[in-house]
Amino acid sequence: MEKAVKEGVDYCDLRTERRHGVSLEFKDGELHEAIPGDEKGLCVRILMKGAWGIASTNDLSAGGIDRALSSALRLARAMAARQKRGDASKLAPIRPEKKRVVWKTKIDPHSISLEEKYSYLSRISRAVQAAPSVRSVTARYFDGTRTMELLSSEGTDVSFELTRSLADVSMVVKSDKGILSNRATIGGTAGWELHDAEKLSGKGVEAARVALAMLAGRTAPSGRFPVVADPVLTGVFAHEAVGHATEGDIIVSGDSCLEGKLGKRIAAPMLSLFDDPTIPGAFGSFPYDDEGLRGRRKALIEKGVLRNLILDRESAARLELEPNGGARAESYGARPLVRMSNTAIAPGEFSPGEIFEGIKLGIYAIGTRGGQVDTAKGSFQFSCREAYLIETGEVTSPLKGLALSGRILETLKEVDAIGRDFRVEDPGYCGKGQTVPVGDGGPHIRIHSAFVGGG
Amino acid sequence: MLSIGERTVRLAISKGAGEAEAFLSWGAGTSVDIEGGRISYPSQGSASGISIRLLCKKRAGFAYCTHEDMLGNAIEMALEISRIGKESAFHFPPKARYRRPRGTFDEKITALTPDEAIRFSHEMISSARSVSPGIKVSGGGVDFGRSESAIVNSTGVEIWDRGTMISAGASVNLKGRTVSTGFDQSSSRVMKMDFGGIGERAARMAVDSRNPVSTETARRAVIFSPEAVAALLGSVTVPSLYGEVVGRGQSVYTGKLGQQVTSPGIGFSDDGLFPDGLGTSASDDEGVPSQRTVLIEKGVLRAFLYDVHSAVKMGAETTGSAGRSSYRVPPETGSRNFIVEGRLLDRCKLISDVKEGLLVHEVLGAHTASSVSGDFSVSAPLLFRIKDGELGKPLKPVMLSGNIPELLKNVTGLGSDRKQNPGYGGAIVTGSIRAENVMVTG
Repeated sequence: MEKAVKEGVDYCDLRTERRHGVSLEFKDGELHEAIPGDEKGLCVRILMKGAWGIASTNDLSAGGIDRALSSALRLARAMAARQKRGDASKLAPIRPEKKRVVWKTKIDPHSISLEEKYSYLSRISRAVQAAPSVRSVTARYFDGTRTMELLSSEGTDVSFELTRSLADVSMVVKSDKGILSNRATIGGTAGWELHDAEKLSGKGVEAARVALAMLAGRTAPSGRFPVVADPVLTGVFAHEAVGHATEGDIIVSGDSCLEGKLGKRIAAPMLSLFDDPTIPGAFGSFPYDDEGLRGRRKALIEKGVLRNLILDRESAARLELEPNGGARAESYGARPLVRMSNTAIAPGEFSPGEIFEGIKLGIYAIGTRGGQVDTAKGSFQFSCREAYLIETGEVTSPLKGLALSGRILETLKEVDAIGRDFRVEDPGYCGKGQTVPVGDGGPHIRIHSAFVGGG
Repeated sequence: MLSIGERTVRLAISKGAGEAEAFLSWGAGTSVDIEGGRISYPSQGSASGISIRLLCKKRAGFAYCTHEDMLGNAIEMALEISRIGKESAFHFPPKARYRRPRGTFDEKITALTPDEAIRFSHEMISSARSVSPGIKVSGGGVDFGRSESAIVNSTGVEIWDRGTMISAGASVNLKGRTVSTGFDQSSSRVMKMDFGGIGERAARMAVDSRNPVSTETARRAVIFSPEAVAALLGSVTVPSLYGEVVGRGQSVYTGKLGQQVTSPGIGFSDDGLFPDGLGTSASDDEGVPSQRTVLIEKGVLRAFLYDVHSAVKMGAETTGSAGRSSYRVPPETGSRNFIVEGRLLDRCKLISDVKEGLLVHEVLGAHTASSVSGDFSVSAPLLFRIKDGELGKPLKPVMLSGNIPELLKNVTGLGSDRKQNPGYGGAIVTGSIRAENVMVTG
């Protein structure tokens, strides 16, 4: 740090990370893979005359750190020499914090033996394999403790430790109608206390039953229909259709359909949507972001109006807004980017019955296989795990291979019922060049008219 | 690197392993990003690691570390893991002879400076802007690097290899009545890049796709661009040709060896020695010499891909398809250069044969398709109508749905506009593909 400051940098930070844990995979009743991991590395960021230079390494010897610093300085200088005046990067000011946070687990997964983790997966695997028409089963488990330390030339000295764990069981079912896969997952920013073989077995067996039902279903219709989304699908909608478009770097690049819309109505007046890294135990939670800012809840949409964006210090400076702790890096080998944490639609006023009634012909869509968004054009796509026809307010025939797509700004205004229920326990991963753990969720919601495609 | 590998294997054997393998890798890269028309975030990263696989009493164990002085611990960890595993018939592959591939290492790339990365990015941006002043290069960048790897095992494998790679891409937008977008990307093992061309193609796509119109729901002939083909094949077809997936009954190709499974006009092979290939190297990631495996030939299913582990499990032979995404994981089956083969037509000819159809540049959500059933339902946000053999107006986003194995049966043309599309441990080498009767929801 002293060396960097002596070189005349505007800003320098050094982020050291350690990740250790284990991952296990069971395939068809036997241990396929067991991977113990323990890795440390660092990332140096230098800002000099408005130009960045970033270097990372896993060589933590004095020589290794020195080489990384020299690399970063050299890059920043090369960048500064070629940079146009108006392009200079700035960081929105913050009050540097000095803090140590440890998010303890109730049961430390590092204290649980390999044998016990093996037998957890073995039990789940056997239970799901025994379910009707199940052809093959893969069960996976991972736990990982992440220790992050950030020092900056402004005096930030923040470190935290947290543990995430996840277990999932995926299965392939086969009937005379064909083959289909499904999965059930349990995960969070938590330790071994999350993991109960009965619980995940139960979810797995149910997922197998759902896959069989979907196989027997008719092909989903294509066209525009009223759609009721379950909390998991609502979460993916919040993430793909809104979350990405509110990311500060995407807005600054001119790649978001929400650019210039702060303070404007972009959704139905009943809709509020937030991103919150402080939800205890949710998969995307963290105490501090990777620039040393305290993680905080961000009300992105409030009663239909776009109120906040997700920002890192640089996008905050460019947009002349207050930074709000949205910078996350995948690992020591990557620079922090604006990322979501746990993104959800806030619960509303409707009871479940009220959401379904009044639908003459519609779709009930549940769970997700993932999705993708084109934030510039404002279009999104995501597929669901389970879907049913709604006929005169009743959930009827299973439909297979359903995906939803649409225009973000249109669809947000088409939400016409939001349920009183709420869940945000479902773990997921978001890719944006770098992969980070996220959570998403919300209540059941009804979209008056959505674009639906069948497989 | 080879000597560290040898020491590692000897240490593992001395600690009780019956057989052992060391995989070492080192990589360093430089990248520069483009964000909102600005070049920024020049970054340099390097990482190295050693991973160990061993067999103790016929049970497998794995561990990795990042420095030679942590090897002892890592080996102990791998031995501990082997105690919970099951006995298997797996053995590390034997000593072999390798063919050195051409065109995978270029000194010119190792000599590139960050300054040049910045200059290449400028080239992409100015070239894009020269197509139309309203064009904004909102994203993209340049990155290049070199890597070295070594594999040593106790059954005689000893191979060291190195490679270089450079990639560049640009995504642009053009704001008018509506926002139109464009993109282009290129990757190469050697210094043979056309940065100006990337910027220009991305910009043309945005200019040409302004003011899109609606289209109706119907079944149509669709020409998928190389990028769209790679996204769909990569998510669905490639994994469905992995021997273990097939053997576990999780592929539409299970039980179909020797049968006609696609149109006779299309075939697939995986080639670890493809000249200049993104996935090319002398051996796979467990030291088996690289080879070319014909998977589907003129529509007939001929073979699947295996690494040693899956080959032993399924009673087959390895096809040299062991891949590791990094030293942190043990190898699993992975395609290297997955090549679409058949008679290639000029893209103009592909278009001129279509009476009523679409030209699709990009698909969203291919990764959500099921590799088990092959069903897909994706959004196509950038596409053009084709009418009476001519490229027509740009269209508003549609949904395309169906089943990939079925779609492959309806392929009626392959384009000669072949490119290497990076992903999944190597590349999917393909040009445009025309398929009939695709469900389009407008």
